[in-house]
Amino acid sequence: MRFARDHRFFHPERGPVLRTLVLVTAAVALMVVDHHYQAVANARSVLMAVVYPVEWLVNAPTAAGHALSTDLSSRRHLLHENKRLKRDLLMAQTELERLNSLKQENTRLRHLLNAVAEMPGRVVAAGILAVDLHPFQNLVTLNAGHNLGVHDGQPLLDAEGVVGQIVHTGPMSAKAMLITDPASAVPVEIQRTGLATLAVGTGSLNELSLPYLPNNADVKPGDRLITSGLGGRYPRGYPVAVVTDVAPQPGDPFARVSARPLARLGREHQVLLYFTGKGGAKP
Amino acid sequence: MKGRWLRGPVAVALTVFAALVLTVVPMPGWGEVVRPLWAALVVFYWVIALPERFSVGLAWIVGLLIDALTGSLLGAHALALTLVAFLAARWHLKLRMFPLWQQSLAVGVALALYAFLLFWIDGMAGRMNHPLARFLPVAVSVALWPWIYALLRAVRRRFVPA
Repeated sequence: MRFARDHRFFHPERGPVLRTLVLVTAAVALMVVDHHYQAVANARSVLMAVVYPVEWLVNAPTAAGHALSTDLSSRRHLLHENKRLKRDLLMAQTELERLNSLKQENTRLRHLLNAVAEMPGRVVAAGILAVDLHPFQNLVTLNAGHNLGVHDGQPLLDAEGVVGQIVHTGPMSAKAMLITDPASAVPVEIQRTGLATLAVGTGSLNELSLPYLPNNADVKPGDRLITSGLGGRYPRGYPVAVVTDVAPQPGDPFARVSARPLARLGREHQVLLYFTGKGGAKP
Repeated sequence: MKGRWLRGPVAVALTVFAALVLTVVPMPGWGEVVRPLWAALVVFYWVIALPERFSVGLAWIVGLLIDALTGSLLGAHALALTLVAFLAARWHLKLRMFPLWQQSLAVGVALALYAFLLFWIDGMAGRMNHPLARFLPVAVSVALWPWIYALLRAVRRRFVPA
C-alpha cells in the first residue's frame, strides 16, 4: 500500500486533507439518510454481521460461565430443581386450564358483542448477547436476527412484562431498545380505570415516567399499567409497570408520576419475541 | 518466510479488534461512564506511528463498525474518528517528538473534539444525552495514554516491519 507516497493524497505537513473532506462528507450524508429515511437499514444489517464476532466474543465468558455452572451443578441440586420445576409446571397447567375456559368464555362474549376476535400472537425465545446501558441509551443485543424472522419494531416481552422493541435487525443479531430508554414511549392504560397515557423511559432501569397525566387524574401508587395496544406496536393487555409515586404539580398542567417496570430489565438472559398473527418465526 | 509481510497488518487488526471488544464489553453501572475511548486511542496511535498506511480511511471504517456495535446513528463515530485521525496525521511529525505528557495533552484535544462531535450529533438527532457521560471518558483516556502508547509501541516493534 504505497499509494500514500502520492502527495496529492498525503502531504507530510498538511495531512490527508482531500481524503478527510471526502470521508467527512460521506459520514454526514450517511447520518442524514440514516436519521430521516430507512434506506440504510440494509447497510446496517451488513455491518452488524461484520461485527458479530465482536459481540460473540463479548458474550463468550458469560456463556462459558453458564455452561460450566450447568455442568458442575450436583445431582442432588438437579433432582431438587427437577422436583420444583415439576411442581411449578403442574401449577401453571392448572392455571392454564382455568385461563382456557376463560378464553372460551371471552370469545363467546366477544362474539355476542359482534366484536372482532383478537388475533393471538406467538412468542419465540431469544438470548441476550450484550447489554448496553448508558444514562442516555438502554439497548440490548439479541442472538436472533433475520434468520428467525425478527423485524424492526417487534415487541419484546419476558415472563413479568414488556421489555422493549427491536430497533435494528442484522442477519444473526438484533438490537432492542428497552422501555426505559429515553427515546422509548409505550402506550399504556391504568388497569384499574382504563385511563390511557404514555410511559416514557428515563434512562434508569427501574423507573418510567408518565408525563402526560393531568393533576386531577385518577391514579395512585400501586396502580398497574398494562399496554393499551394503541399505536399498534405492542400487543394489548401485557403488564408494563406499577405506579410508585404520584406528585401533583400545582403550577403545571401535568402531574409528575413515576412507575417501576415489571420486566426484569438488564437482569434476564432470555426474552420473548412477540410475533403478531400470521407473520411469524421460521422454526 | 512467506507470510511475514502479513504479520504487521494482522497485529494492527488485532489491536483494533481488541479495542472494539473493550468498547462494548459489559461494565458495572459506574464503569459505563468512565469507559475509556479505546477505539479512538488505538486509532490515534496507529495514525501517528504509520500515517501512510493507517490513516483517515481506515479510521472511518472503524468508526462505522462502532456505529453498528453501539447502535448509534450510522456515520456518527465514523465522522468523529475521521477527524481524530486527521489531526493525528497532520501533527504526527511533531507528536513523535513530544514528551509523553505533551502527547497526552494533544490526545486530550483530539478526544475532546471527538466527544464534542458525538455529543452534538446526539443532540441534533434528538437523542438524550448527558455531558458528563461523554466527557468523563476523555479524561480517563488521557490518563491512560502513556500506557496505551507503551503497549502499542511494543506491539509495533515486535510485529510491524518499519
